[in-house]
Amino acid sequence: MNKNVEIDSLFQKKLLKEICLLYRPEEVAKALTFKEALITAYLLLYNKEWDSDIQNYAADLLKEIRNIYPNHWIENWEYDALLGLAYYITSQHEERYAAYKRAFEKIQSNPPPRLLIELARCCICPGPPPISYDEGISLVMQALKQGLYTDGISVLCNLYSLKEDKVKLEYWSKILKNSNQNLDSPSIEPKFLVEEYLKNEKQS
Amino acid sequence: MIRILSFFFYLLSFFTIFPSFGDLQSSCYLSLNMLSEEEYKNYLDQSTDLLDKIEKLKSDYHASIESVGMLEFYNDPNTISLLSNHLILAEEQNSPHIDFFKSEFLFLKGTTLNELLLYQEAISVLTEAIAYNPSNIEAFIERAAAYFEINQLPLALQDYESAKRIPIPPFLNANYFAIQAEFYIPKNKIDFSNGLILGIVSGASLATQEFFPSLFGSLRGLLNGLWAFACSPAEISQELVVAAYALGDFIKSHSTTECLQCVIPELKELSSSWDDLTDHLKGKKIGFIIGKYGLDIFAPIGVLKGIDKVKALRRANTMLTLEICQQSKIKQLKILEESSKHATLRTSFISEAVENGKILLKNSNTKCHIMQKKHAWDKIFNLTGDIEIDIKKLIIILEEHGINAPSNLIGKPELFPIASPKIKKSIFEKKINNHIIHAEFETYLETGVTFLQDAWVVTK
Repeated sequence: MNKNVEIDSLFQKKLLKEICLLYRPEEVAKALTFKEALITAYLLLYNKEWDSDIQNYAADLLKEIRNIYPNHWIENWEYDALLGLAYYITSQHEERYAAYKRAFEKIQSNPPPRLLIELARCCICPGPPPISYDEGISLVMQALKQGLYTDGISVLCNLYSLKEDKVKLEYWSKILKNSNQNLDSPSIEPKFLVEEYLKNEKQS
Repeated sequence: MIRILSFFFYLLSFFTIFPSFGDLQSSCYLSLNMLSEEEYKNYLDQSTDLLDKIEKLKSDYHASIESVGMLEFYNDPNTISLLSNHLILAEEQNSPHIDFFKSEFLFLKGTTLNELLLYQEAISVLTEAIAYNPSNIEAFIERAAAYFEINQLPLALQDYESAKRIPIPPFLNANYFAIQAEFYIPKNKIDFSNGLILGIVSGASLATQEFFPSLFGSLRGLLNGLWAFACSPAEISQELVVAAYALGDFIKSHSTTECLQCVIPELKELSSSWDDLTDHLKGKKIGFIIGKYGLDIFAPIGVLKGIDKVKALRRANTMLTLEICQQSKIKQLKILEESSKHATLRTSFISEAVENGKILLKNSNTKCHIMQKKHAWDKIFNLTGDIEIDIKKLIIILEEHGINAPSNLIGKPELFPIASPKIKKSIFEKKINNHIIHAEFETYLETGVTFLQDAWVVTK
């Protein structure tokens, strides 16, 4: 049985960890269709054990999907945002910013609040941040104009803490405490992947 | 070798039923006339690969039987139906060896199920295999392993004893798996075994302290644990030594382990240095990996690639554990005690650490990540350059300053995945030695256990 058939067969049986242990991300991206490869990467990223090695593999797989299917990839900014999320989960800070920036640049107008917040969150990293804290704050403020999202306020608290601006940190911490804790900005993960994840959860 | 020859003897009878390959295809075609044209076309496409493998059966029994295992594993009714046709036709021909074939076929299926840790299913299939051939020693041993895993030690020992009672025909006096591995015997077996014992003991002690999420969920995996070592390291079997050496040799040269090396950092080092190591060090390094991760880490290779070495090691471990269990009730209890002690130790290590405000690291890779140069720890304390020492110092500093105290929590914890949260990510910041320290912790919502995921000194 050739490699592609093996990978496809494992994918159909949802034996994704076996895929990750036996094949390189490049091989998997080539053997599966664009959507199947994305599903594999997404389910591995959110693997049940939250295993960081598997998550690193998922991030590499997304990177390969981008290389192998450039035309599909370019169609939707959400794919770059997903890659940004994978890099965030795996603490690959420089790559995270680059991916979110690409997603941001693909959107002509009205960027979704979550993307603005995630872009601002990139300031929270080891070493010099890719954008200044003030730029980060401005991005979050832009997002908060669309709603008083708690994830946005939370990032704002982080940025003021890093700026050592105690007054503003206290102010926004109070707002966070009194805000509706369930009001997070809408997710920017591709819907079909979220549906696939929930379906998979139900089955297991 | 003799056992392999005996398989060829059976194969010879097999091919007397199907005198030519062309006849084989026509026979299959007759059995498939119920299918539509399109279904038949699909069937033929899918069967081409299998037909090639059956052709190969004439010269390479083992490779083909692994292919059959693969097909069973994929459980694809279209392709395995071809094999079933062989069995049906053999039955029609009244072959005297049909029960042997059925038993071997079911044994393979049972082994695969065991390797996939589906023990109950394995028991049912292996019971069938034994019914077809009550002299199938390997089926008894495999079923014993499955019973052992589901905590049915009396039944496991009963099967092991039955296996031992079956008279071994003179042409089967050598162990098939041992023969497979025999090409890889270490030059100095004693040195290698001593190293293996030391490695397993030190790897296993690390496994109690670190958190390794099992790649296959929360299974007991008793026979993956090499408990016989813990009970009585001196009783290391020759079969196990040979199998461990063979696996090391395989890892050195085989490309399919490349991905496994990403998951087990020690494998990379082992594969690049294997040829330069002394037998003692070889034993120690492979033992360390086996002790630290357990045998199940190799399961995907064993199942999918049909690697004899993994099978040989697994079998040798099963035999050794059962053999020692069988020797006396005291040893039996000791093995069970060791395995449950190990599990309890890990649980209590984690809960004690949580109670005492200790900071836990998820695994060895986290250490390397946190100690990267850009994380700027040299601003806080003098680094030695030894990651193990430096990370310990850092953890002490973070614990002493109570980095993860609620008062240091910044913002609201994030939940992952958003659709169905499993993990809570919390950010803490505190000024230590005039520098802001940023620390990110992940909490498993199901268990409440928290691990340090990342940390650095903020540099603007």
